[in-house]
Amino acid sequence: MKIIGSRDRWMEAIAIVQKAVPSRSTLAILDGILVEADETVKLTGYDLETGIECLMEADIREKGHIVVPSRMFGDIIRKLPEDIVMMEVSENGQITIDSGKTHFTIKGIAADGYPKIPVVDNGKAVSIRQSLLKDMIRQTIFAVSSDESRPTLNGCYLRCEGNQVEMVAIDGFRLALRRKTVEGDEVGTMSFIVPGRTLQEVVRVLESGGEQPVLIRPSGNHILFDMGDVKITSRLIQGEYMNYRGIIPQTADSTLVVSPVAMMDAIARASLIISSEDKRFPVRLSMSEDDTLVVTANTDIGTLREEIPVELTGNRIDIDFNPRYFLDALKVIDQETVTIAFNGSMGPCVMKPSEGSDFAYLVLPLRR
Amino acid sequence: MGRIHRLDDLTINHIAAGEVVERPLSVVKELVENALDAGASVVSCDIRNGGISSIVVTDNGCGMDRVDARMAFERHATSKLRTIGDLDAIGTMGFRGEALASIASVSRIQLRTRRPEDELGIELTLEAGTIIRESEVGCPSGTRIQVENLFHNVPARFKFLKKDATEAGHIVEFIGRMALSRPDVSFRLVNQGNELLHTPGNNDGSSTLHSVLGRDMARSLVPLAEDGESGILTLGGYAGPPSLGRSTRQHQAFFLNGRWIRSRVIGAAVDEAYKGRLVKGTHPVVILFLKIPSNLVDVNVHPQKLEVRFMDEGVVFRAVYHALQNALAAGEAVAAFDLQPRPRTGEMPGSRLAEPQAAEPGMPTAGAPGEPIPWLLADSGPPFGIHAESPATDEGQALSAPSPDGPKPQGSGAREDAKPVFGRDLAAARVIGHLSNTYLLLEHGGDLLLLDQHAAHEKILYERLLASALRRRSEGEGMPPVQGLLEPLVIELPLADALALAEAIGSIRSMGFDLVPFGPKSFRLGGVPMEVPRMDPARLLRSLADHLRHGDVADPSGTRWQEALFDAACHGAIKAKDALDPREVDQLLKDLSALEDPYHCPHGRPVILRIERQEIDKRFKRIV
Ligand SMILES: Nc1ncnc2c1ncn2[C@@H]1O[C@H](COP(=O)(O)OP(=O)(O)OP(=O)(O)O)[C@@H](O)[C@H]1O
Ligand SMILES: [Mg+2]
Repeated sequence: MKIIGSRDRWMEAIAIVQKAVPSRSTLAILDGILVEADETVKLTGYDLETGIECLMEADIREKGHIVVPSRMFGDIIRKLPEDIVMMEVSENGQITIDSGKTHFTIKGIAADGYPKIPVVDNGKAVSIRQSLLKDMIRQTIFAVSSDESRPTLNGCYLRCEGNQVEMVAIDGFRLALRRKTVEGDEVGTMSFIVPGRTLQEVVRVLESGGEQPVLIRPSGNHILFDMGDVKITSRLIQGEYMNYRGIIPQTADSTLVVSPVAMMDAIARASLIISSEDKRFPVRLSMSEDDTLVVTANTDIGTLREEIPVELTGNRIDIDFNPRYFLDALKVIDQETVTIAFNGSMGPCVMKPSEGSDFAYLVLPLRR
Repeated sequence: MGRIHRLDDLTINHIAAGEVVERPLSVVKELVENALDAGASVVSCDIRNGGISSIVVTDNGCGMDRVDARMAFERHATSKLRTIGDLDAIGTMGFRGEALASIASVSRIQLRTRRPEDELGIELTLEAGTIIRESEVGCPSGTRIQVENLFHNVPARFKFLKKDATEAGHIVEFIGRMALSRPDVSFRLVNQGNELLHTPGNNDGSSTLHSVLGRDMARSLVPLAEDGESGILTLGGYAGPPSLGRSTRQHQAFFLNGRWIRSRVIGAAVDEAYKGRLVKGTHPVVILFLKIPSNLVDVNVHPQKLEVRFMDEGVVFRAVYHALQNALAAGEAVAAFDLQPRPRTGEMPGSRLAEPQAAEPGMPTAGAPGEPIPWLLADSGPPFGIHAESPATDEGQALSAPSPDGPKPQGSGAREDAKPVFGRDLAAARVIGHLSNTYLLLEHGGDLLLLDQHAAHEKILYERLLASALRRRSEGEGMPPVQGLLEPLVIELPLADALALAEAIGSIRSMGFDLVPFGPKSFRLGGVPMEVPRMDPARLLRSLADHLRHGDVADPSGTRWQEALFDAACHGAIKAKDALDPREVDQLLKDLSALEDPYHCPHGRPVILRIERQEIDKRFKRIV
């Protein structure tokens, strides 16, 4: 194998696939990065759960493949003096790396023993813009549960039906839902649970302003996120996802329209005194006038009271919440105003951006 | 005149009753065994007030004729044994001819019985052992015995009866066990008019298991491969996965030739088979059916026939041990993500290497390469300045009173020159790393602290729950804030557990669990206390029920309740394998430092180990 490429390209690609290289695997070969030079150069990291493949521009003089020790390789490339890097692998697996007047020789591992990432392709695919997928993940992933006793909640539920793509996360107490109608062909109906950990990796690779499409291909046990140069394959979480559709109420006793920023700031200030010693306290939302929401916290340490202007429809409210659950959702609502629907002091509370119906967040109040 | 005289029959029977009939359960047990001995395929039991006011056992067995019915209440009258030689080969559950006489002496009995071949049946009424009425009746074939006013003439014993629910709990457990051992018989249990259990009697072990233990538990049990050792012993049953560990041994049941027994040998074999797989302080769910030719076992060593003597204990031990080992190994092959350490299969107890010993202070400890370094094992004691953090006072010990077989708190682990207690400023410790996603590494005052995440969660959970249980009592405060669940959780429990939990439901609700009964075996959980950290409420409640089933649980400040909470916290705290995010770490440290004793988990295991800087320097030979 012999390839000539750019140091910066190498560094980018290594950083991406390293996310899936286990640091101390029982299978020594997995501690390395698989480098394959065929029509293009491809790097692979795989921990048997998640696999990341990354294509890289390079001038291929001679085809071949080899596994290189991940950390060492990354460090060497980063320290090279010139941007032009030539890598050559000899018959016996000896790797030489040349850049300017620097000449490294390191030992590689034969690529034959490297496990294959499952091929995911049963013809079905959903295509989503990078920036949109990134938003969908960001707006739901915080509600993924880490409770191992309910494995199906350890991931985001991705559901496609017709032109609608929906991503949902639930941790037992709250639900975050992001929905989008995608252009183009109907995608058919399918649904699967993607591990939260995988989505964290996917989000890192996705570009915020990225207009390129991501192809999502599920199969029975695996899912592939194809972002062109980068492909992430992961195991799916098996099992039946919670039936959330009926949970979201369609009506409300009270509806508030408020600035998410003002609300977030007030609750953040309340949080300063809420988690004290051995008790945790709720934050209270109440109203004595129709145009003012009063945020209060009353704890061992002291009190906070803050007024926020709101627009009310329906009854005045007096409800307690876990402040963290409120903050998490307010943070991901990017609009000027948010509409919050309440259903008494026991019923679910639903937050939506005032414009559109792309995002919904549901949380249950604290009962006194 | 001589002082020695013969006791009258009633007195003799009373004395015998003391051994045979100790509580309502004993009556149910004798009556049900008689029904099975009579070849019944349907046995039904109806109790009122925990059996204290009434027990009715009905069967469709062989029935009795008039003469036998009268004889049945005589002492040492039995149809099951004729000569002393028969004693060596007892195949029936009864054999002494003692039970009915004993029960009759301490209660009021009505018997109705008819043999299938007879036209009419007979009805007898007995008061304190004497037949007071007798008549012919038309009745279904089989036998129906009603026992009322139990112990009304034995005030001493009557006084010691537990609450109705407790007695009922024992009976529920017993019938459940019988049903498991005899899937060919349909059992039905009715308590206060509510049907608690009804098994199909279709000889299908798994559907019986389902009705007795509930769906969740039944599903997770692994059936044992039927196996015999040279034809002497046959063994079948179910092994619970290690993850289903319970806080008491109540979920272990052993049957010998269809009879429920207690056995130290079998218990030891179970423990040995599960060794290294279980979380400390938990016991596996195991159900075993042994068949041994009756001449190789002596069943006549215990008044209630609960204990037996095996001719060859070794054979029994090995059979049980191997059967469970195999089942566990098979179960683990499926659960590929079970990260629990497992002992090598096939290895026999005894061949195991001795546990590493704590090194004598002053002795060089550098072991052979690759060997565990003894002083790093928390269990091996505190030499070399590495010790479980412990407050200087004894406070910690009271709080960490361990479960009976748990290890004692390592309060003595602190060296005399240990640094002062750091409790409150634990939150100021700096996180420098994370070991195997299990331990947090912290720097504190130049020393290295190792913090066991899971133990820390347990500890916080326990303290929070206890505090809220006690707070309500002392201040008359209402429920702590309850965080509602999006979708209520339905928790199904084995009957006896469900009964216990139902009784304690007031205390549980006051801790902030929105729990309501939902059918005889199930509960609906609509919310959990806001104050507690990550937990698995279903596991927590199951563990609570485990403890409460035999105890007096009305008083949340009682020790029984506290013990139950210790354990529930241990089971309910989420096993955090994954890395905590910085916010969670921060919260954990804050929560911990607010505790009186952050040093021990409820079971007395250390939560924090400190390795002193000086000690590290010494090991690197920077100082001597
Ligand atoms: N349900 C029943 N159906 C038919 N016969 C019965 C029934 N219950 C009791 N008997 C008869 O009454 C006899 C006496 O019963 P009892 O329980 O007192 O003694 P046992 O079962 O022989 O011995 P043990 O005292 O060990 O139980 C039995 O041997 C049996 O013949
Ligand atoms: Mg009997």
